[in-house]
Amino acid sequence: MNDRSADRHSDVDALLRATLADDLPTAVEGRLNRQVDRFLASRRPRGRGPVAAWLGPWRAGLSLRVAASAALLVSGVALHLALGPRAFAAPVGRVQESVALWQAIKSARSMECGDSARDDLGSPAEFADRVHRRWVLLASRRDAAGALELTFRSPSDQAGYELVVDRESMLPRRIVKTPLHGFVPAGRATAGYSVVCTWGAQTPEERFDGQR
Amino acid sequence: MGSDDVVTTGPGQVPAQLPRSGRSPGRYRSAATAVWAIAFAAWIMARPLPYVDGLLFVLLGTSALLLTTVAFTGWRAAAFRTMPVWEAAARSAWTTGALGTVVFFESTLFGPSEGLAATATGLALSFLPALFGCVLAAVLLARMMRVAPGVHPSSDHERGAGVAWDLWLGRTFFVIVVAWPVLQARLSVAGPGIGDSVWMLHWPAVLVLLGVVGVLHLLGGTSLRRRAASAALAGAGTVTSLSGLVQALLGIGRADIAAVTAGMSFLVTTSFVTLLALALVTYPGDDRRAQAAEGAPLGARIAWVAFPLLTVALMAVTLLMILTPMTRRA
Repeated sequence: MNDRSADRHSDVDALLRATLADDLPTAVEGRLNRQVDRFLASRRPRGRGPVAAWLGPWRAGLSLRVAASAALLVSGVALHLALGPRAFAAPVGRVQESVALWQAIKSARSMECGDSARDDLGSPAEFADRVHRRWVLLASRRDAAGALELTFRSPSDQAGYELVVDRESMLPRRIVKTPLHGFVPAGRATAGYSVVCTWGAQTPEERFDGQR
Repeated sequence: MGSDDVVTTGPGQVPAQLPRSGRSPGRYRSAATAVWAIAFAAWIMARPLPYVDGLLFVLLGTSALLLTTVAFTGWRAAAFRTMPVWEAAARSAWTTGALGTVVFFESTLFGPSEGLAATATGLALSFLPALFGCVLAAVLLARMMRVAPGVHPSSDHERGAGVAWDLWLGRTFFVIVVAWPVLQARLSVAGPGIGDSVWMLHWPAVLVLLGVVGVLHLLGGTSLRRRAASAALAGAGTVTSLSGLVQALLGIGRADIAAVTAGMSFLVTTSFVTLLALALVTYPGDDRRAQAAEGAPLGARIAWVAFPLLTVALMAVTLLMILTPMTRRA
């Protein structure tokens, strides 16, 4: 009797196993698993992680968040207006002054700076090319008369150049050359000089033709 | 069916799961970290070569961001058979390229001056990373087309710890890649200071950007943070960058160099910070959602493409403003 009952149970077990076999396709099983994961995630209370718990006192309501956003905006704009472009002013100004000087010299018709400067710098085109390719602007400042004083270093000439530039025309009125570290010049280069320059500016028509 | 076989499904069918990788993630992590470190050292050596410089920046940055998308456990080819991963890699390449343009632009501007011609050339060359990033993104998107649609990475719960580790490792690598050119440029200047490198950022612009993000978060609520974080951040970055551009253009109209440089610094800083925040903060969340099944939302995809493009365009405008002299009229 007991043996027969046990046999019947094992038959039922076998039948159940065969009928309810775990033979879902892998793809379907994966999709079901993801759906369960998403459902559980959507039911989980949000913002209860360790960081949120640590920030508990600061997890304030809407009014505080509005105030914080407004404070950030207002303080950012106020600081921007008050401080100005601290970081960018110097490098951008350096490039702008070099470009303005280069363009002004390039567009000049003639240059009268004395023999030593003419031997050293050549024509306005050569001078402009030197400013563009070889000179490095180290410092710029305004003198008492409102003129711009630009200090360049020319590594290829082993010399420093100080130019007093007219603010309107951006053409150098005075050029001072100083050799660096006791450099002995060779060829065309001269030891050093201080000259006053006069310039023949191009007419607007000539400038237009040059640009074309 | 072998262990590496992939079940592919067509449209409307059940997405297939990829097989799990049996290898230890630690081995992959160590090997990849070593390779990355060697590549980074090579990049530092190659810095004098401007063309290689930008290319290595993009490759290193993209590989670092890839770690925030795919954990090392998924690197056994499995994850790379899914479309979201290739799409995320392409997006990372494009973003890294745009960010590289900002970084190289700043490092040229703030680095040692070698004359006007060298500075102008350096500023122009700073757009090479964007070009390299665009090319790499195109290659990765083309490769994505070979992947069967509907294949998704395994939802392997065992990867949890590894994912968190790799996410932070990727973020750390990316920050190193981005910070190095700027620091290197500052250290090359006579009398350098690390603090000066930090001041290359215009901090008021960062505050305004945070404020705009906060306002958008208030308007959009939690659902915005969950579903459109990248789009919201890119929108905030666009608003603040364009406000900087408007200030700079008004400065040009008044021949006021101080206003122009203030606008430029605002524009460059917000572009830089937004791209960095997108890459480090919102992209990993986008990737998790994209890999979950639905794919990335349209707003995120637009942000992925549009904001880096806007940044490159604004940097080109900034280059023109810098090289257009206003001194004579000031």
